[in-house]
Amino acid sequence: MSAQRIIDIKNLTVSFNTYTGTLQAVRGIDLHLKQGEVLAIVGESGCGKTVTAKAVMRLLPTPQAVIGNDSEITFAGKNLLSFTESEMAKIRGKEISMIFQDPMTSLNPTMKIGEQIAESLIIHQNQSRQQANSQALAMLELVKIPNARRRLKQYPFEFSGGMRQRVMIAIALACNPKVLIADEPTTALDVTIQVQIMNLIKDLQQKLNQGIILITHDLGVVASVADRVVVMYAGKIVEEGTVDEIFYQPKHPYTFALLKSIPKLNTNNQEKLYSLAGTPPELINPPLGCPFAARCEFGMKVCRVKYPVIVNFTDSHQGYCWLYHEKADRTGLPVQFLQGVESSAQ
Amino acid sequence: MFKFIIRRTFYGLITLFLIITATFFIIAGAPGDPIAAKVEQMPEKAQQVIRSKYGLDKPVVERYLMYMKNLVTTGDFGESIIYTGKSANDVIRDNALISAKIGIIALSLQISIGIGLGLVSALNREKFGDHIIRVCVVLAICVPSFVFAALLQYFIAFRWRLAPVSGWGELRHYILPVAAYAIGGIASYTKYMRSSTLSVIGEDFILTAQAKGCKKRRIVRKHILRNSMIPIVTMIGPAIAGIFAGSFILESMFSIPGLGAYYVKAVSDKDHTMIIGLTIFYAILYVLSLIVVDILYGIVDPRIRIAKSEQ
Amino acid sequence: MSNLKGKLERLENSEVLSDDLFTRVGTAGLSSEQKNQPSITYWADVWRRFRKNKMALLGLIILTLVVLTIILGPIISGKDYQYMDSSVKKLGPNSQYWFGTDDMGRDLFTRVCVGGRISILIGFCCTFVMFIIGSSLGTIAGLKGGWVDNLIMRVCEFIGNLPYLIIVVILAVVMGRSVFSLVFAMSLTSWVGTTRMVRGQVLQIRQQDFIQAATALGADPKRIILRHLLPNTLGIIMVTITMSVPGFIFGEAFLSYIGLGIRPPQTSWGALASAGQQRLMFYPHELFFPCLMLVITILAFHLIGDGLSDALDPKLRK
Repeated sequence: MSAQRIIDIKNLTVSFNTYTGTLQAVRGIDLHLKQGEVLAIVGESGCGKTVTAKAVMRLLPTPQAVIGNDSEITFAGKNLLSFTESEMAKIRGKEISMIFQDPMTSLNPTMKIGEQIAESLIIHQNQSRQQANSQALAMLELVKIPNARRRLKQYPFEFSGGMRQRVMIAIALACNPKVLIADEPTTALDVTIQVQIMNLIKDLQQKLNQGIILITHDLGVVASVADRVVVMYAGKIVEEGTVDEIFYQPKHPYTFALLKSIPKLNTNNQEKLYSLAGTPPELINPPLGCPFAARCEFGMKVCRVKYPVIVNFTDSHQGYCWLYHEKADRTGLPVQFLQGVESSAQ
Repeated sequence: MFKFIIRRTFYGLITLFLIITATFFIIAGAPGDPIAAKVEQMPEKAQQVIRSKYGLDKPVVERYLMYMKNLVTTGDFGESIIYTGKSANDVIRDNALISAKIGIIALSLQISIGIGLGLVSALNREKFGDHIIRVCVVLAICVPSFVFAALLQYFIAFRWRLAPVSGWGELRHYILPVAAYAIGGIASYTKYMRSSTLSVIGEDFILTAQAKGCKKRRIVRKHILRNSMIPIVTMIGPAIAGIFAGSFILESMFSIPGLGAYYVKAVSDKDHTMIIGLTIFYAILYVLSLIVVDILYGIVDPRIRIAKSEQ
Repeated sequence: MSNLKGKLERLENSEVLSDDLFTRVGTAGLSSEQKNQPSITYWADVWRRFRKNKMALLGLIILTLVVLTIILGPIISGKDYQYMDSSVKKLGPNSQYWFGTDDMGRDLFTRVCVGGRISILIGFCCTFVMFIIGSSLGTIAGLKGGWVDNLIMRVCEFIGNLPYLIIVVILAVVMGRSVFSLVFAMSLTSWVGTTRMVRGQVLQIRQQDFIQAATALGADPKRIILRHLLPNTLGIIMVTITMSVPGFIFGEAFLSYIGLGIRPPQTSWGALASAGQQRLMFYPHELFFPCLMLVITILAFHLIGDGLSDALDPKLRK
């Protein structure tokens, strides 16, 4: 099973040295991505999703960001954290690519689109300018930009937001990487464009069979494309499972709350849309117990003093929550929480 | 792009016309008699002759129209009222080139060294080299050019005798004025280049380039340099005009027969026609250089180039 | 490592965790809102960061010393800046004449102090005039809009396109040499930047939701805009002022140096430097002291200005 794992993160911790103290952005997470799989990382902003992604790319700002000594990020059997900067440069764009949240600022304003796509081909595949240009053209056609030949010679400001994100995708996929990390690729776009971009990513993924790490706070996006979902909260993973498990049998109260806050088609318009009160805890002095305790309606005394242990619901479904301890008070829990739990919790 | 240049030139001409008119009326219409000192000792009759020679017996508006006619048709900038027979055109022809020689050398030093130092400083932010460069820049910006010139003259020329104190004609005469001229400019170009590079480094597209697998050298060359030079281009325009005008103070300090030195002389002589002529020449250069900058700006920044040609 | 920890905890919880710990308490007694750090006001924060900046503090100290010197200097030295003593011409610095004497036997220290008063006074006057013209025109342009705005911006563009030096020289030639004409000439061309900045601020505040709401409700938003204008612009204005004063001091020195500035018997740093330059080779102290004072004053303003703009920069707030 681990042979299939193309990316394997073990006990990743990332902290930032700031003015007011050390901010523990990611606090010991284990995560893996299989070949050809779409893994979604979901959570509120500031929960450590983007930091995790940038840690994989080794794009965190130095020296402010510090990755823990016993952390490990394995890609194809090698620990990326032990790579030198120039070894890492050979991985970026060629083996692992990344697209960013804001397409308006992610492209070099003074460089032609074609050149920007061709650049990684020239770097990684030693292609001549001409070869690279013709492949750049093919990439633009692949991401469905009309008039690709003319567009190649244009500058980013001549493109709309959605078009620019397509260009970003073309850049990221130019060298046919094994892994694509998409950091909130649709957040900055209009809703209609969001759907187009997500469909494009999904189509290309099926065509090219990359592994994708999709970072988002939008669960609606997740349902349509992801195979597996990891839910993060305050720098920790709180629940992990297949997309069906997460959507139909959420076990963690945080996942449950996230799902409850998605508007549904059959939501009665008299009904008020659920919204989770409060904000995540500060990560400079994170709470001792479960970080979600302060917002959890099912919270118990133990939640405030001890971090919960891992609970394996199925082979693919894990969570960290005291509710599944044998002594826990389970009255009034949502039905999803209890489905299949008696047999698998302990 | 072509349309843009035409439009820009048209606006430039309007600005120029306004500057010339304003200059003429302010100076020619100023109270006091410009040739009073010259003609004081002469009999009434001779005064009349000289006055009518310079058209001073006519109303200002008439003189203005005459001046404009001469300027446009024959390119005549006017004749000195102090030194009979010497025209502003002579002065420009003889002196502007001298100013330009020093100016071009100094400006190229300023731009190249400034951009280089600014880039180095920004790329090594908060490291030793950056601190050294920044301290030097602050000091250099705070010292007026004439103080620099004086220091250079005193130490390098007078005490250590490494270069001539002043004079003109040989290659070694360039050393001190070029150095005094360049230092302040180097400091300000360094300062602007540093801050502009730092803001470019913080941009998202640099992260994209890194994520593509670009190495540091390539990122600097392909992604940082061009973008951080855009704001620098705006500074170059007025500097180009300055090349021909020369530096007022430095040229007089180093006894360089340039246009700047002559301008100062005209000012202290109250040679009104000469001041008008030289000012207008300077204004033409200035407006021209602004146009050049806009065009340069378009070349460096495609956003402006394309947006403007579509207007 | 984490696995090991997990195992340990698992061991622990089956044995140690008491039933009581599993009583449900919900969110009672816990606040999920982020606890705010003791909040400090904007200006307190700016001051805190300014104080941390050693260079800026150094600038403040230097400036204070310079100002004290030029105010108290002549009193302490007990000499008159115009008094010529032909027995002490061209002396170097000594215990009686701290900065030496000039070619007419005047005490250079006293002259540098008196000249400094003029230089700094001109610096502040020009900044003041620039600020008054700039902010009122900027406010008018931003509030009125329409053709008024258009006219003001066109004038700004025109003046901004004029060569600064030429204008100043011409005005100085026409108006003759006096402190007033210097201030007039230098302020006339300098207000363009302030006007644009203030206008930008007014337009920005105007865009804000509560102003638009007030307008929609039929209220006249001018009063509200004006009330928000000052606190919003104060920071930038302070930086502009500290950065402008040295520019004007420079300008004065320059004009005095080419003989268009202060007329004797009045004097300024630029005029003193100009006089000193002519005898540079043999009496360098005559040039050195006024230049030294000029340079450290400008340096002080620069350090303060840099410190201020760093302290006000929201991006650098932590």
